[in-house]
Amino acid sequence: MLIEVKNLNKTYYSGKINFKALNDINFSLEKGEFTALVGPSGSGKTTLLNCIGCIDNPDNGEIFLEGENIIFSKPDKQAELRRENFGFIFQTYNLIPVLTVYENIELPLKILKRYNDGEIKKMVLSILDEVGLSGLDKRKPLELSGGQQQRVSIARALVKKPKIIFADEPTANLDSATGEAIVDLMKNLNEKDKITFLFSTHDQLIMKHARRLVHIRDGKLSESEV
Amino acid sequence: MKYIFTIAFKNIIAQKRRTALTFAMLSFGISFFIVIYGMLEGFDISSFDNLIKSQTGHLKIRSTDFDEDSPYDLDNTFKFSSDISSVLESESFIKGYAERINFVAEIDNTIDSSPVIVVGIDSQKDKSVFDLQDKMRGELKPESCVLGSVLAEDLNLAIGNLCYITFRDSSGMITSIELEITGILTTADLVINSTTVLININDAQSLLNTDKISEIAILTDNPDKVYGYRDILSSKIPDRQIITWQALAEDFANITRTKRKGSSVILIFILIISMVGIINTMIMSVYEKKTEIGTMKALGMTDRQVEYMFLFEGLIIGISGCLIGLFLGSVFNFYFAYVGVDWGALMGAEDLASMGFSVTGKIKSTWPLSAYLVSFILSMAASAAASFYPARKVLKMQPVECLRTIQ
Ligand SMILES: Nc1ncnc2c1ncn2[C@@H]1O[C@H](COP(=O)(O)OP(=O)(O)OP(=O)(O)O)[C@@H](O)[C@H]1O
Ligand SMILES: [Mg+2]
Repeated sequence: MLIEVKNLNKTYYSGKINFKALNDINFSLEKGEFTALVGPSGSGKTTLLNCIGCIDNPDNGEIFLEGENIIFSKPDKQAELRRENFGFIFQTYNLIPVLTVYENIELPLKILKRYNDGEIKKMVLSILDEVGLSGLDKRKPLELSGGQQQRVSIARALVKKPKIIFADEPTANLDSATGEAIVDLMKNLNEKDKITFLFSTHDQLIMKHARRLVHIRDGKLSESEV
Repeated sequence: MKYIFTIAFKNIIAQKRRTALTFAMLSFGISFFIVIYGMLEGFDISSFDNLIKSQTGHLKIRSTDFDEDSPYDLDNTFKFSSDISSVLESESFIKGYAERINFVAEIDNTIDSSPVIVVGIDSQKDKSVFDLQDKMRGELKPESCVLGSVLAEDLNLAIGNLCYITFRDSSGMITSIELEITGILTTADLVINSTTVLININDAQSLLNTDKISEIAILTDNPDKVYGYRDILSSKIPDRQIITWQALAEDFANITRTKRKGSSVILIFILIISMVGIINTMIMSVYEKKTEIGTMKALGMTDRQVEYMFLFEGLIIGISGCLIGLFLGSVFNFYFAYVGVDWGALMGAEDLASMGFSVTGKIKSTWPLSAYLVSFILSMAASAAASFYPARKVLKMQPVECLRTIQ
């Protein structure tokens, strides 16, 4: 089992109002899954992805990554977990604007400090080819279309071959044709490179590409197989 | 670490206008600091130089029981013996010496009168130590006198006029004589200009009925070695007091030191204000990059690495802005240090004198090493602090909080 979540709770405190965004979540994910987290707006999709991805802290519960409980790690340990195991794709792409496409994609490898420049170059160029952006490596993010930017961000998440990629509404800012192309790309990479994907969406067209659907409503989960 | 530096550098390049503005502020402040500091130091050095050339020389020989409280009293006089003159002639470090006799008197133009200090000089020998005669219109002739310019103006006296000088001679007799004015003296020192009357030392001695002198002023080959020279002279002339220009100028030096402290505080304040630019730039830079910080943390960068990124950004701006400032300051200072400016002619010597600067002619700025160091250290400290503080605040947040700002 890649990820196992047990009794996870998360409350938002804003002023005097407490809002329970995740309510006793139990959930697990096998290696190689291509799973969509679906639910209406405000149901807790983003919150759950952030907690599992170690970029937010839940109230209590347990999160196991390959059997190791990673909940409430220290900030530097969390950084290491993300660096070594996780890739992120954001709805708003979040590319670094001053860096070129090439530099954006190599950034996670530089942070990882595991490969030399020659290896990095090979990896970046082959991933650029995989996401269909060969030849655009010298462009800046703002010189690309939304779909192209999202491809760059997929390449950035994918380049270090993480154990899992979290994608929070990766297609929400794209038109439906581009959105479907992006999910197709993710699915291909899932099949070819055996990368586990957990992504959220409320788009029917996107959902139907998922191999497993996890429904969330008011912070609670229910499941259905596709 | 190299890629962190690269990102920092690219972030700076991306904000061309802001960077230019920060550089402009910083380099203006620093170059201003350097130039003014060098100028003030130049003023001080020039003031001391003037003091030496108009009043103190490098060393003075006085009577052992010289009374500081009544320096112009005839009790302070002593005989210029042949022993002393043979010592002065034999020491090779002595470039010139001149004996003087000073006494207080009253000058009047038949309408008004004014207390003065009469200085009896030997025109020829005095030139070898002092430059008073270069600052003189007309010349000192036997049985005549030269007046300080302010004094002459106050009493409405000019070259060719007669004046009356009244004083007590060595036996206490009140004497009054009539002298023709043959010269007017304009120095950088307001006190000299308003209180001094020069006459020939021979005339002075015969008027006072004495063969003694008040002091011998000495010019040496090196003003920095005067303490050693003093000791040599003291051992050879044991019955007289040998005093250095530093001791003679002590009051003046104290004023200079206080003045310097005051102006340093103001200048450092200007320097600090110019650094507000860096602080502002860095705060903006950090806050507008909140999402990027969140992204980089999500990619696995540690807080320390992100902190370094901003530290690099601040230091690159701080160091290069400072270097530009030091360079510009040096370029301006080059002119002031090698060509010099006649501030007296520009601003009026009297105004300068009333500000406490006794200077004339072209004043050359120094190369103020301490100002360079202070600028560099302060810009370094300011840019480090300016980067760390906002970065710390942002880094305390969870990555998700940084990411949230744009949604
Ligand atoms: N920072 C916050 N402070 C307070 N409440 C929050 C905060 N973030 C989210 N919430 C609340 O928590 C609930 C779950 O939010 P979340 O963003 O996880 O929903 P979501 O399923 O991703 O919605 P969407 O489909 O609109 O992105 C929502 O009701 C939201 O109002
Ligand atoms: Mg969401």
